[in-house]
Amino acid sequence: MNIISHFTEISLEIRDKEALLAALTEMGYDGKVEVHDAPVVLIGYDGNPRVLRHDNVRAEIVIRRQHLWRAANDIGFARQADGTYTAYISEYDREVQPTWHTRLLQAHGIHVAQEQLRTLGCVGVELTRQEDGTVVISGVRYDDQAVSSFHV
Amino acid sequence: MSNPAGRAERIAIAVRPDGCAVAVYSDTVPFETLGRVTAMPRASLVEWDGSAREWIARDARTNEIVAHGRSREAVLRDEHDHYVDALLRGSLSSL
Repeated sequence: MNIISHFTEISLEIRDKEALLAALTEMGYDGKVEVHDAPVVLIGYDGNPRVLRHDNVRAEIVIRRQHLWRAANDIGFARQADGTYTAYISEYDREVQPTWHTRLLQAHGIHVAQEQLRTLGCVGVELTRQEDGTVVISGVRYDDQAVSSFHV
Repeated sequence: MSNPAGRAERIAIAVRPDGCAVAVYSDTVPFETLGRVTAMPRASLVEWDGSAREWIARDARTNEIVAHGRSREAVLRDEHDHYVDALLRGSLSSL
């Protein structure tokens, strides 16, 4: 019998509203984030509603352009039916701030991973920051059922 | 660290600044709460070595022995810990 362990690679997504708000706070937007029960229209750099495929772009969580950078458009996060949040960031804003979205994904992911480990009952949960910007969230889980490998 | 209640499982999740994460697979962790699982590359192969009369865990990429011993359970635990340590050292954050 061969026993094979695997790595898991994950493309981070925004699924947790509280983690998203915490991540935005860490990025300096404390008190600058609108949270709506229903989606609201995003406004572009020119003061007009942002339009995508003939419809106004709407989102429940919004950072208005005056809190962003020069000539920015509103950034919004719209909740989808599957529980994820789609980030509406214009092409221009992605060009002038190319790492903004991935930094947000990382900050959100760190919060979610910490919460995961706490929910699993892990002890000694800690963050290790590496030179390349990676953050490792680690902890130890005690359980008679702890299993970590595929058996094939 | 003592563990009177049972076995210990070390868990580590490396969250990268490029919007991706890497972890050693565990049934325990609901990775889908972090995002979309895009790959499950093989980490190692654990086999019984008849000549050495022990279990040997070899890295799937380098074929390096990462753990070995008479107890399969102990080898699996050591192999898992090897990769968790590698994640913590930063040598595995990019696969």
